[in-house]
Amino acid sequence: MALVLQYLYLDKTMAVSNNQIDAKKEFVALLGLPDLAISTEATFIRHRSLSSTFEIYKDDGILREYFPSSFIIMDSKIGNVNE
Amino acid sequence: MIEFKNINKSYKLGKNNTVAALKDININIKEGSVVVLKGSSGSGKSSILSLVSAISKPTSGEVIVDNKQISKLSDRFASEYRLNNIGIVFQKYNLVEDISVEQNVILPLIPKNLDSDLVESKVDTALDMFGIKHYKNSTVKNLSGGEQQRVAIARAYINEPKIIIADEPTANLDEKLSLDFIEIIKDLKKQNKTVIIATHDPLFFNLDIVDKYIEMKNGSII
Amino acid sequence: MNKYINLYLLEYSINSLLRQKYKNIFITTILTFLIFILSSMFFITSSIKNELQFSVESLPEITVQKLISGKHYDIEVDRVNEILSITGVNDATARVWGYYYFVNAGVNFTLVGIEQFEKQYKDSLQNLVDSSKGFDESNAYIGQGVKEIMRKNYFKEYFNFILPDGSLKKINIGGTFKSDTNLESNDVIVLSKENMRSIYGMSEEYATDIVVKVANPDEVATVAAKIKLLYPDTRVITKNDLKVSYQNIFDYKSGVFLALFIVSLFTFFIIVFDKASGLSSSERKEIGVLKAIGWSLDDVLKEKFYEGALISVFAYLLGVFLALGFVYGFGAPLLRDIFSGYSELKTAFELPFVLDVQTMVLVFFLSVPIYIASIIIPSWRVASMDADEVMR
Repeated sequence: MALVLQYLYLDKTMAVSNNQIDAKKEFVALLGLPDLAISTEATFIRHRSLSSTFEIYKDDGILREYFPSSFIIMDSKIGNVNE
Repeated sequence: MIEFKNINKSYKLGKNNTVAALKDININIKEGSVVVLKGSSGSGKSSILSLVSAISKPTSGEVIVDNKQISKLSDRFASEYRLNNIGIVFQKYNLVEDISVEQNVILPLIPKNLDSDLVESKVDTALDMFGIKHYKNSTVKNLSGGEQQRVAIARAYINEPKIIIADEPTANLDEKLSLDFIEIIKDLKKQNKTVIIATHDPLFFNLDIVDKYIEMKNGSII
Repeated sequence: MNKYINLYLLEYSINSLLRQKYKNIFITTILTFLIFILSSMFFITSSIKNELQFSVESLPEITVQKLISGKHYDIEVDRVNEILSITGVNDATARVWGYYYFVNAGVNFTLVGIEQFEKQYKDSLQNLVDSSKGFDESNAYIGQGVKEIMRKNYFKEYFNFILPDGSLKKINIGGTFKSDTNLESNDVIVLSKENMRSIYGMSEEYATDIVVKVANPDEVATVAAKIKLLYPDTRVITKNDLKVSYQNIFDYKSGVFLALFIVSLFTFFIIVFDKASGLSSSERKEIGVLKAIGWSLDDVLKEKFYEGALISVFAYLLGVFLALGFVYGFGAPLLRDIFSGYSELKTAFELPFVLDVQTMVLVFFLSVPIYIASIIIPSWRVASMDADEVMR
């Protein structure tokens, strides 16, 4: 029962409203950049879809794995897609 | 009504170690009779009780109850047979101590999934019959030995089985309570129940109500 | 109701659980915790995926990047004209964007340059921004996170960018992006392309990449191929590629799955081992007595099933309930650090609430049936044996 109530409550408050969806779409259309700003320190995570797997070399001379974000977020295959 | 034909029962206690608990037993028990199995521990009394209640199967031979062969029943039918025909009063009562008397007595009724009215009335009847109605909601561990035994008997009785089995019922009772128990047996006999008692209590050795004595020693009848 | 649920049996099961109160409370707590962690992770990943889905349609159909020796290089702006001449191409624009490392705070901002005099931008910008000033040369619009960082470093009305030659460029803060777009805009600063070029020291002839609009979705692949033929030194990314990459962002190869999997396995083995390593002698005797009273194997198993179900279903509901509150109510305090990593610039992690039935069902099947099985199996073994020990 509590679960149902909680679901209803969350639906009202936290769910994405249409206005919000429109705002998000507009913003993305404006910038044209994919990916969320959840992890900003490593560029190959921040703009994962536009970066290649070699980005990590470009970012830092000392090769440092940006853990745990890169552990969690699967590498985008776009970098290796040729066709 | 109960027949043992050429019953042999052995137990395996390990590799190459078999114990013969019963050797070539033949018994005939009429319906509505009270039977006492005499004998010291290890003589095979408990094995006979197990066989009558289809808790175990004989190594060879047949057990026939009410013209039905129960010695080779599958688990499901054996359980059903026990549920409807047998009531067991264990030596150590084997009650669930942390719950109430009512909840203990109800146990044999649970598999039948009956209406709550019916269950209520059966419970009340059984508790009434053995004089423990006022303990209905008491926790079992708070009762005395004699009272607990009555609970065990009520539990055995509740499905109104034809056969009631008691294993050393007076082992933990004083004389007064033992006599009370004998009164209960008389009541059961009046209802035409077949009662089988395994005991080595001399109190039972010369009772009028007992129809048959079977003395056991080392797995055979003497 | 009586036919399906045997209430007396249920009562007996409840009492049976209460008889071993502490052990059962312990197990329930572990199960709840496990389900809580699993669900939280699933909720987070599923919300992130959903968030990405909202925006994917608005992304440009094709993005063209120049790659030399595996690294990004600025692309020539006049390539735009060539691309425009490909059939099917509606529009092609050169983009200037990149990163700016703000030394004082040790954070990375994403800078995006747009043409201030294009009317379409002006209108949509006004919609997205809580702003005070209009968009022009000297102004920038920033995300919430940027604003916070700048404020902490005493930049309230304006900000100084350090140019490649060492000089400072002052840019006024014109407004902040609305919190609705937080997950996308948190670290973003939007400037005019002119300002961008001077901050990066990039000449007019170059841009960061080129975005291409194609009217007909079916033609995108062909256009992309043509561009690639035209400019072999580029990487051409289509919207479809993006969609695909969003699908696998948290797939089975990613650490999320692995971590969760290991945690679940480990905890389960502990519980199941404890249960399945055989029942205690008192439990065996209890089953023996029940069988002697007349309970069949089915009845015994049904009772054990009720016991297992009571614990695991309760743990499931409680775990999910707590996870929902944790993730959506509190923004998942510790877990979100796993996703943000070492970011100095953290978003508020206000994830959108999406009811993913699939996930809930998955978590259910990972926990409840396994626990119930771990209770039933040892009981089944005991209950199938002859109960004659009970007589001795």
